[in-house]
Amino acid sequence: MLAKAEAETRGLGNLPLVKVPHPVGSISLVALRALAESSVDLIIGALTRNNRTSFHSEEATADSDSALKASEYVPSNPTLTFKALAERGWTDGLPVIPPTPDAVREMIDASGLKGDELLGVIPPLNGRATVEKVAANAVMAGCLPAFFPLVLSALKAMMQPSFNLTGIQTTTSNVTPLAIVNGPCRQALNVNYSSNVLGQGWRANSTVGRAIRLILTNIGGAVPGVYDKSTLGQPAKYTFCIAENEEENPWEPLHVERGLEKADSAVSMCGCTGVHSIVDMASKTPKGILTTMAAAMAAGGSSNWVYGCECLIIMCPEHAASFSAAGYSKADIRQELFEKARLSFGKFSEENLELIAKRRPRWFQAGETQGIPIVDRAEDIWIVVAGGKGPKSAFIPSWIDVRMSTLPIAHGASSPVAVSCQC
Amino acid sequence: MQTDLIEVINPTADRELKIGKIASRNHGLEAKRIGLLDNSKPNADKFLEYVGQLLKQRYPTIEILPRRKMTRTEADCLQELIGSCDLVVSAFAD
Repeated sequence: MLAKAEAETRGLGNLPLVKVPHPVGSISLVALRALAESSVDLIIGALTRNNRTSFHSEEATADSDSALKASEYVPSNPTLTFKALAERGWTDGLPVIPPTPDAVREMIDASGLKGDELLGVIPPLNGRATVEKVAANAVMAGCLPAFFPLVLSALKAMMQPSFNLTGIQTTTSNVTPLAIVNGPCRQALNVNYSSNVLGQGWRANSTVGRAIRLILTNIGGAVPGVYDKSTLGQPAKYTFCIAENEEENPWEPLHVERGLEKADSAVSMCGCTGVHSIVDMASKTPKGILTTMAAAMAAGGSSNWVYGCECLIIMCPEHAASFSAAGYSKADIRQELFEKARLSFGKFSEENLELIAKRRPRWFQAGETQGIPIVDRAEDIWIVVAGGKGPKSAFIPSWIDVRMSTLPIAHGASSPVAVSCQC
Repeated sequence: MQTDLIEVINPTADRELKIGKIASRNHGLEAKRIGLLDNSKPNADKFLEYVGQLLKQRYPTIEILPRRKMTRTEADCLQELIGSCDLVVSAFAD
């Protein structure tokens, strides 16, 4: 499916593909040789004959698109409405708000944009993300209209090439986008940044994150098990949106670090492959907390070890205060974590060392004896302050080629209209 | 009854159809330069190496050009392949 999606994204839907039976990576060389022998005729056919082994034709695609109805009629009874929408495959499995024309119109109006304006196309199926389609998904997710500019900016941020959305949408990894909100809109929209920030209970966090998932599935076409090939998935794929606790952040907030003004409202999207709790209620010094954090980061098995991608520390205010009181800057913390969050070669299997040596060869050069670091550069460790009281931080590894993407929230989210929409 | 129904906007979307043209495959392999693009996943390089050996056995005049990408196929990688190869076999996925 990844090959098909990649070919279609490049406009080559009829590119000949040869399906080699899974698994490939874990089998013996003898079995691999047999696989090559059984595939070579198909490969020769794909190289020398036209119209071989394409998944489906352009004509079939056009036919299916022409059948898309702009709207449908479903029973008005709430239970039956949900049943009808779920049967169409439009939900995440949880009840949704029906995207009636009036509700969608109200959402569109909150953006100041026209409903038919095209924001871009979403992989893997190159779904046309018009403002109306995005709004319909935001309604279904339970968003207030005031949240819509935040949803739009989150979507645009994910469309930046550096975010690798095609990969996120189709991979066997459990990676999912995390939205981090900064600026005045946190108060205007009541986005939680304090106690239980990664959890439930706030309408803005819950529904904005959910809207992002519904958009990716319904418009992008990343249907689980079909194009979304995640082996396990993770609960954060339902929804994952937080805000930074700027009030208790002793350093500059994330969006300022990313080049915006403090008075701006902004959303930063990053890749999340799980939340690893970092509990340290005993350490009295930053060195002690750093030791705990580095140990948590140095847990094996994440994509970071193979790809050296970015990662994120969600630092609780109490840990941040300890660092700040001792004069630590974010750069100091990053550097120390970069040096400490390493795994020695002995912690990897021989096969993994061979794989990592291909992708991160610099850590295998002569003179590199400190093991393999969680990232290739200290600046690839992002630090966000969030959460309530308690000495509990978290570590979030990212995924291949996903670079944090930050955009201002373009319109309305901090306006008086939005302020009146507290939930 | 109509009164029991509500209208809902379809949240799924039309597809932006990019229609590219793939190169003609109506040719033999003799004397062709064949790139083998390894995606750095486990065994991809060895699988393609075997494929290259098998192709070479059948078509001794071909030239095999092993290549490797780390993650996505970036533009410079594509340009290099276009410049150096007549045909490319690319490994995908896990």
